[in-house]
This record gives sequence, C-alpha cells and structure tokens, in this order.
Amino acid sequence: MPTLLQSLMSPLNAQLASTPEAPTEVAAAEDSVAPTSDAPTSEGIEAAPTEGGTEEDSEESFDVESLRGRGAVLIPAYNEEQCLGEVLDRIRAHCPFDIVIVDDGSVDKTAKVARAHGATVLRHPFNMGYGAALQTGYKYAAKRDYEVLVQIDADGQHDPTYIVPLARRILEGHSDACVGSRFLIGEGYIPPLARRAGMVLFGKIASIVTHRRVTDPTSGYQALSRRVFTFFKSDLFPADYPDADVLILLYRAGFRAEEIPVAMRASVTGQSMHGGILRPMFYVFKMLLSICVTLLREPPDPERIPH
Amino acid sequence: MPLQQRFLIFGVAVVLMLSIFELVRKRRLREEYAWLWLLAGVVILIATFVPMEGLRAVANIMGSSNPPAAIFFLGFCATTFLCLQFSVRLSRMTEQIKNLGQKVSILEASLEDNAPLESDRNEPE
Repeated sequence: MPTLLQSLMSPLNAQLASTPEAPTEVAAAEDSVAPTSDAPTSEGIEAAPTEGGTEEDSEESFDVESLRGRGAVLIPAYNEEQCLGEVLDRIRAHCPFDIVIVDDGSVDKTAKVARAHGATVLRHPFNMGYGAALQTGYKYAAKRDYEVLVQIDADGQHDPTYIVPLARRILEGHSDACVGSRFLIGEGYIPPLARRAGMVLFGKIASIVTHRRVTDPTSGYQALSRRVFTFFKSDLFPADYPDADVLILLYRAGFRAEEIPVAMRASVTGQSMHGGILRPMFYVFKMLLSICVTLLREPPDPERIPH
Repeated sequence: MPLQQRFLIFGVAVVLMLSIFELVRKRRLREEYAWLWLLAGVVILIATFVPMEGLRAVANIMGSSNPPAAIFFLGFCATTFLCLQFSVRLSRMTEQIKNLGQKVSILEASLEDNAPLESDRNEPE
C-alpha cells in the first residue's frame, strides 16, 4: 500500500510539468515548481494569464467599479458562523459584486451573520450537500440574470483578491469557466497526502479527457459564465461534491474551461469534506464511477437540458 | 414435500397478503407499491400447491439437483430485484426533494426581499 501511495504521490510535481497539453504561457507562471514545458498550445484551448497577481498589474487601467451589478459571489456555507463575517468583509473590500450565501441547513448562526453583513441568504430547509448548495446558487443566479458568478469557500481558504481576475476572464470572453488553481503558483497551502493522491489521480484523468492541463480538479474557487451556471441547473450536476467529473461534463458539453493561479491556505476551521478513512475511499470510488458514466452518456447539449 | 411444510408456507403467504391489505387500508402503504408485494404473496401461495415433481422440473432446468436450493435462489433473485427497484425510486425522490428544497430557499429569499417580516423565525438562536 505505501508503494502504491508513493507512486501516486510522486507524479504530483512531475505532472505539473509533463502533461503535453500544457499551454506554454502557463508554464512561465510555475517556473518555481517545475521546468518549463515547451509543448505547443492545443487548438481551441485558452491560455491562462501568466502572472499570479493579475489584479495588481492591470489595476490602474481597469475600473473595478464597472463590474458592479454584473456578477455575484456565491458562497456555500455549512456551520461557518466563526469565519464568515470576516470572509464577507474581505470580499466586500475587493469586489463590487452582490454576495449570495447558500446556507446548507446550518445549526449555528450562519444565516444571521451573513444577513448582518448585507449578503443575500438562500437557506436550505435541511442539509443537502456541497454540490446541492452550489446548484441552489446557480438557480438563483440564473433567475437574477447575472453575467458571471464567482464561487468561493466560506472558511477563508480562498484569497478574495482573485475574485475580480477570475470574473474578468469570463466577462472578457476568454473562457466559460475559470478555475483558480492552488498549484500553479507553487507555494502556500499543500493539502494532506491522501487528498493529494486523489487530486493527482483525477487531475490526470481530467487532463487526458479534456485535452488541457488540469492541476487542481478539487478547487471550489471558480468563475462561471451565465451559460455555464444555467447549464448546471440541470440534474446532471452532482449534489455531493463536484470535482473532475464536472470539468469533464463541461468539456463534453462544449464549454471552454481554464485554470489561473490563485493563493489558498489551509481551512481555518479544518473541517474538510474529505476527512476520515472511509470517506476518502468512497470519494475515490464515487469519482471514478461518476467520470465513467459521464463519459458513457451522450454529450449533453446545453441548449436542450430540461430544468 | 411434507404437508406440514406446505401449511407453514401457505400460512406465511396468507399473513403477508392480509398485512398488505391492512397497510393499504390504513394508508400506510401506497397502492403503487402494494402491487409488488401482493404479487410476491400470490407467487408464494401458488408455490404451496406445486407438486414436488414440478419443483424438481424447475430445479432440473436450472441445472440443480437440489430443488429447495433452486427455489431459494429464485426467491433471492426476486428480492434483489425488488431492492434495486427501491434504490431507483429512492434516487429519484432524493433528486426531487433536493430540487424542492432549492426552490423553497430561493422563494423564501425573494419573499424576504419584498416583505422583511420575522425573517429569522426558523433559525437557531
């Protein structure tokens, strides 16, 4: 077993460099992590911006206020009253978007804290899972007709300075879904061993299937275009934990996805969805099954999905 | 097969079917599920009257020299199928409940926008 784990683990860094589909532009960003890959950029694949702090570099020429009303920040939260207030304040300081909290049946004061900080609260009548909470946000966003939706975790793991850069990738038409990857910078939070094994495995599978490099399939820090979150209203979207299978679903539906580097830190509350021994095993099994059936289904047509 | 055994099985089948009728009458079991269980009861009832030669013939077709084992296997298959059927329905209901819950949260939020009443009524203090 240790040898199996090690063999899964060792490709983490190697994988960052070696996947042939890697767009050359990205390679520059992770020089600190891995040697540059000079494979040619695949056709139709968008290249991610090279710099870690997109915001700082283009801040002068870009008016953040012009984004007001065009998008929303979506935060799924389950018993997050401790950090939520601070997270909301930091998000407010960095972007002019509306803030939508999906309270997934919390038993603490999550909803109250969110309202006190001026966020819209969608409160589930009972706990339904991370994916279901995201989907509630998608349904709401589609109703409100936002152009872009940036989803971010409630536990303070994600640095809110990247909300605007993520949203701009969508608003400027570079891609339909932009995922913030913690591995493109090559510093900061490194997840626990078992979790990393899953990330490498499913990142690799997703990379092969979608013909682009996927380094962080578990990242919940994403920006989605209106077409994508409208598509995700469908029952095809998993209610438990969306992961590599959703990236594959997006690819099969003809959407363009990309990754840009973001900074992440370990969750402050430390309550991961993937803790314990049985849950990671179930997670691996579920994800493999989910990827298989996603590939076996007819490619979905985003225009003809019943909601 | 001894007469005693046939009586026992017959009794079980009768009790099963009466229970189903009673559950439906009390509306604790919906008709759409009752038919499956009634079918199971009828099959057991019929099985009570099949002569031993018939059971042997069935076992022979299945390549079994042991009729009870063959019958047991058939029963096991039927039960497995039933369970699978329930899992399918359960999955559909989970999906429906999820969609309902999401709709409720969105409707609730839009209600609060229009009329901020005692919005925190159902929230833990």
